[in-house]
Amino acid sequence: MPTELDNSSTASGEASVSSSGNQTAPPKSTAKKKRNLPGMPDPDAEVIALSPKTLMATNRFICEICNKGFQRDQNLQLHRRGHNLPWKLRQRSSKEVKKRVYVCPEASCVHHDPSRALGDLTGIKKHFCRKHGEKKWKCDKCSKKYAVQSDWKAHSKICGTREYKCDCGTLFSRRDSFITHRAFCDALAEESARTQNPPQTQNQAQAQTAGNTNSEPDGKAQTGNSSPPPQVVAAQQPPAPALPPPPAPAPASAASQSTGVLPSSLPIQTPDLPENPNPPRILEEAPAATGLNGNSNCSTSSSSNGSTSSSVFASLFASSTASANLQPSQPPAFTDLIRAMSRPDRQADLAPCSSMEPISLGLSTNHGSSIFGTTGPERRQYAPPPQPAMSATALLQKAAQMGAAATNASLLRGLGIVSSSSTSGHQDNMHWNQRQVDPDSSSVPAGLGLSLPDGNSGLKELMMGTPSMFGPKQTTLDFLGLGMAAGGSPSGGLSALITSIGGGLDVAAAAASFGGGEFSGKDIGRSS
Amino acid sequence: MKTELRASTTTSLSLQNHNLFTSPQGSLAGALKGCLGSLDGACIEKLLLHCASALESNDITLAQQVMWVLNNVASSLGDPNQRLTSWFLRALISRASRVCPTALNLNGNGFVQRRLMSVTELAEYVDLIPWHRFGYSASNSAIFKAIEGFSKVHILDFSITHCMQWPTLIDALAKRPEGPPSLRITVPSFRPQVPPLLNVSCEEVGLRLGNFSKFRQVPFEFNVIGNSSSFSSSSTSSTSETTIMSEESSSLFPFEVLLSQLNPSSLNLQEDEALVINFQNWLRYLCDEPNVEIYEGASLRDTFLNTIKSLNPRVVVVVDEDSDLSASSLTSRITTCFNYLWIPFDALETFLAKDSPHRIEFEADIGHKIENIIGFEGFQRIERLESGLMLSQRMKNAGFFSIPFGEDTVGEVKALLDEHASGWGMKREEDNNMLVLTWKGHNSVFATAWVPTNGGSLED
Repeated sequence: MPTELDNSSTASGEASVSSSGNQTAPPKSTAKKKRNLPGMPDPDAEVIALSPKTLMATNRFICEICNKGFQRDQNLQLHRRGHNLPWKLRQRSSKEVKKRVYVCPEASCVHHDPSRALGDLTGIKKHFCRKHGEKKWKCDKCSKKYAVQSDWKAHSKICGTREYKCDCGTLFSRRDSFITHRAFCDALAEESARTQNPPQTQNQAQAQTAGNTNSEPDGKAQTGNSSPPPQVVAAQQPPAPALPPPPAPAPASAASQSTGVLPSSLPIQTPDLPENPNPPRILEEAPAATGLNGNSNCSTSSSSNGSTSSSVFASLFASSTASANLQPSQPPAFTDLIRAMSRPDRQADLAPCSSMEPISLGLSTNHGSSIFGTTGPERRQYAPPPQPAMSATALLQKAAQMGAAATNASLLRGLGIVSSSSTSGHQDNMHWNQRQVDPDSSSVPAGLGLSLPDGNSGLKELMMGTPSMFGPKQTTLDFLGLGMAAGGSPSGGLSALITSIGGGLDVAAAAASFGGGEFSGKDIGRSS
Repeated sequence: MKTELRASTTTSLSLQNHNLFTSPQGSLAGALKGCLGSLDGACIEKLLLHCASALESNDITLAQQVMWVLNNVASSLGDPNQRLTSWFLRALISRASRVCPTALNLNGNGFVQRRLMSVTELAEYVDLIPWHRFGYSASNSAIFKAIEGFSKVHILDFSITHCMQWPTLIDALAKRPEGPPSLRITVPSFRPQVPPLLNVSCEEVGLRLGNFSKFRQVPFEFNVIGNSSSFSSSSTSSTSETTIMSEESSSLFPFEVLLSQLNPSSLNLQEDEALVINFQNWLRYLCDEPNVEIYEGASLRDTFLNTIKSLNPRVVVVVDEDSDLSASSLTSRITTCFNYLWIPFDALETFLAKDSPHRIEFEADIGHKIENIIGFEGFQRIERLESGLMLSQRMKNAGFFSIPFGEDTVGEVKALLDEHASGWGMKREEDNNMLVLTWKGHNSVFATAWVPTNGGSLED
């Protein structure tokens, strides 16, 4: 008899990691009882990693007499009783048993991370099947396929059973959704506006019968006799209307947006409006062709993949790059940025946006996309967050190269955080070696920018650095927040960093020459 | 502003030896240590924490570096981690910018503006995932049971989803064997400025509910209180009172104004009415810090609950999200927030396409919340969610005891979740009589029902 899946060491020899949770700070917990914090498995829980084969297997427990298969050992044991075989049921163990959580074996999956482990075996099995398994269950009525049988069943129950139809024409498969919609639908509002008409009485009579019985189709009872409601785009139309919400309420919402966010006493929407939002049915999503949408309307120069990976800072730098290069004075930059910051939301509203250049923070040379290249994994599920090309190490290096050379690269400066030292403005376009920072002045501006020679001259060069690149005694803060000693490469910290985390670049060798005793204790803690 | 090196974060870093970056604090290296090659959730979380602590210690350089890295991870169309990260990053920037506060930042709104939805759009919105519907279903069922035998019901509705909860209750009341009770719903005029936002007033919403009730033949009345101008009513039969409050105070201290109206006369409480209090995603907006001057050391939240108790309600239902997001420490909030909000993001990922506008909207609303939790402090930080456990304790302290949800309620909720396919589950916490919506086993939303101790009934 196969061993139970529940044991941490199974026949297939999966290892079990004994402690989950590698969070830096244990979450604050004032709960007296032993209770998992929401979203996080018990830090003491045992993390179990099962193999794909194990997870996909069903009916692994086979009766030796009749070969009947069972998903659980308990069920098998009960069955064995029927054969008059010895049986044992594992007793429900006492509370002292360690809680177990399960991780997904798929490395790229979010549930591979112990902090996202799932709490029960069934859950992880279903997840694995659903996400990484083959979809072998197909709905008869529509073309949807499912990997997990219960999902398929759930879908089959509702597929094609849209028996609730509102007067406005929208179909619903769930009664509560239908009721809620109906209560607020304009069609009802108009109907009640005609209270004095005979049709209304008829409606009420119908409603009464519908209301008093437990029958479902209120909608059906109604559609027959209400006067033809303003007409609707049939709910079944193919998802052509791209983004129904914006076109219609856009005018209203655009106006409202500027006036703030309180529910205002706007007049009731015109009857036309409900027709537009309705087509996207609750249970289905019209795969809007326009994606994150504003971009299709935008005239961006770098719309390729950048548009899909529109970073938070995209519009931030759009405004700054748009306005030439230097913006020595802060207030304009600040307002620009504030304005720019609000744009991404308009974008979410799918209003056409002005120049959107998704530029990564600090690297103006890298137009278009983040270092990642295509981070728009629309077609992929669970795309690994960083692409293979850019490991954490590489990101770090890039971060170190990030310089003030990028226009208004200093996000924080633009946001008004930096000191108002007048030299700060000039720093933007100057390379490290040109910076005229005296050792004791505000180190922030310089600290904000590590050098970025135009065009990303090789990392190696940066690392090695011709001595002229780095001014002497730049007591500026490198990105680690450490003071720089004389002749120290600004990336000395970086090199040591890379060494310590074992980055696989030969930079490490080069960096080693910079490491070590270049930094004196007095630089650390310097609060210039 | 100069960047200062804080001893606590950086003096431990000695470059004499390359082990320097073993210290997890204060360095990008520490942040990325152990997550080479894959920036998974744990790694992102660390980065966020580093960014936060960099901001708190004014280490602008480090903050910028980390933000840069985060920006390369973040993607509003990526996987749930990436999407979540983009909202967190935005919140951190929002926070950073507030170092130099401007007039733009005086409210707790940050940069995220949300569009206004129509009522029908909102009706769709609340059904995207069972996140809200779970609470509605459990609450309505508990309410239905609690008002058994009453012919008059008065619901005091404190919620952020604009009465989306009530149609199904009205429907259920309409089908009551003994006939529907007459129903009165009172809402406060003030509502925290958080999404989801409607493009119509609450009076308009009340009108529609009234229409629907008429259609279902349930006598209905809708009232708005706390308004500086009036105690307005949009029903066929009503008594109206005018409450005069100063405009000024109502805008600065809306909750306090509201509190002052929670008395039997302002609410026009009737003896033979079953009073129901509905808290849906609401209590979190009441300040939970003790206030010595006004409330004698209690917090607004506690005072509010005490006042509610004094109204002698038949039942108080409380629904909210199950997480503690109001710690005073920023890093603690970031951790908890990140580890909790992946839940709805993950759920949305499972059911909706990456570029689904509904999904983006839903996520944006969560982003709005993140921005407030991470980006603000003090009175501007209006999102002060506490978990079901903590809330239950608070209710008990205020003099309520919990009542269990009946089997039929549980059955209804289960049926609801079944329709939403796998992944969603429900569990009962016996100790607190709590029903909890779970996603992949993780607690998402809790629902509880309470009655005042020594409350007696309305008959005495």
